[in-house]
Amino acid sequence: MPTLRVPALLKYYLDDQTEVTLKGETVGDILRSLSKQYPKITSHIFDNRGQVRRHINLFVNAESIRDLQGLGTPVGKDDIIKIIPSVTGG
Amino acid sequence: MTELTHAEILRYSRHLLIPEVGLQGQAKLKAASVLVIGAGGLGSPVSLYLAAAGVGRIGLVDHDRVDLSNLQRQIIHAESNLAQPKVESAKLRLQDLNSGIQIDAYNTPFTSENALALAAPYEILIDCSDNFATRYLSNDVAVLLGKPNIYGAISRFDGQASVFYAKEGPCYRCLFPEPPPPGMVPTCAEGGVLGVLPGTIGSIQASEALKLILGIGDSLIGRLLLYNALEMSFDFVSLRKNPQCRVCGQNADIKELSDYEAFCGGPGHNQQNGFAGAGLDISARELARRLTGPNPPLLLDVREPHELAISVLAGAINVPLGILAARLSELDSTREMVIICKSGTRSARALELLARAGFKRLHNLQGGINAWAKEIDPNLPIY
Repeated sequence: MPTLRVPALLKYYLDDQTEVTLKGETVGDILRSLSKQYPKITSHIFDNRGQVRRHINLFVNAESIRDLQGLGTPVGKDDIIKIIPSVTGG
Repeated sequence: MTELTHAEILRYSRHLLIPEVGLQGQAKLKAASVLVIGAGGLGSPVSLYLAAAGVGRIGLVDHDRVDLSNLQRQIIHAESNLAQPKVESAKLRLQDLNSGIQIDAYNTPFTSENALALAAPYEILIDCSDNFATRYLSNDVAVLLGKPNIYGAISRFDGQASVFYAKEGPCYRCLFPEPPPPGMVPTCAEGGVLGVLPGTIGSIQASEALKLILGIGDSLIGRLLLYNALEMSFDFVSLRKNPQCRVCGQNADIKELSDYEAFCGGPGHNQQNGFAGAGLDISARELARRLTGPNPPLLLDVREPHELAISVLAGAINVPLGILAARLSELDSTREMVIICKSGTRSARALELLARAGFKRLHNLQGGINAWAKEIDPNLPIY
């Protein structure tokens, strides 16, 4: 199954894990699986209309899904989906 | 080319021994100018290393003063500098480190009104700020002036770094077109940060600045570095220009600076007043009065459980902000409620969440439990 990776700041909503494996054939599938298995993270990824928040970036391996096929980007068992939110501390 | 004195040749001898630097490179560093935006966690190592390396002119802009809670990570400041303006404290330290360079200290907020004029004399901007409004402002200034903006950001154990340079690659807005909703991404003051983390990310920013000045190596233009100190992992992702970017895209509509605090939905410059606004705030003194009177309100503390070990108000219910949405059913929506956090920022966000869910009798403890410790109960520590 594909692996989803989050920064340490979001691990608190994934039972203290920064990596989880999830079922799905596209990035959109993976996010739906994520939300179902770890509902506490949902509001951090999606807005009230169910759209991915604009400060959240999604990458498959090293490529942004903006440069691929968006949420329809296919993912295989060896792919790593990365959630990269904006960070402000300095 | 700027000549080096004998004293400078000795001082920078370890640079001069590197073929990629040499006399010519060191002269480039001496002739270079860099503006460091923020003299805190990131700005400390960035400015110390640039000064030590011999960058000839370093500007520092920050409006804050040195606080005891800064010293866990802001290594340019010391106990003897407490309450001093940060840029003055930093300037003293940098001049002590290297008297042969020019340090410009700007003890002022970096705002839409002064940013272009402050940045104009410098070749490179380094974003060491601690709030989204200043980050978008720094980016737009860099794009409008055609300068590189060396980005670093930190939170708890995570760090990010890149070089945003619209002439050669993406800018900050290409990656993050919009800021998060106010309060969703915690600042260091709200969420905490490992003290050494800004040292790691700031050192990377300083390296990128030196490489840009020297014209050597592969920069972080078009790449985002992701660092996780807990796992000790470094990862990179590729960044491309966003054709729809509002400031550097093909049809960019941002041609001048605007109101970045409004854009980001909250004050910049790391203000920690902890206001919810709209008459929803309650002062610590007023809360103390209400708690001893008839019909005291319910206290809802939205901090993380480990923070309660530092300070707590008797009788408060603890539901951390991160899981509040999932636990609304446990709360009585008809009960008058005062929401509490460390300094009033998370509680203001919790108030919004509860108000959207139909709760009506809500107040935000202005300034959080730290204000309570300051004004009502000196036995409680401030953190």
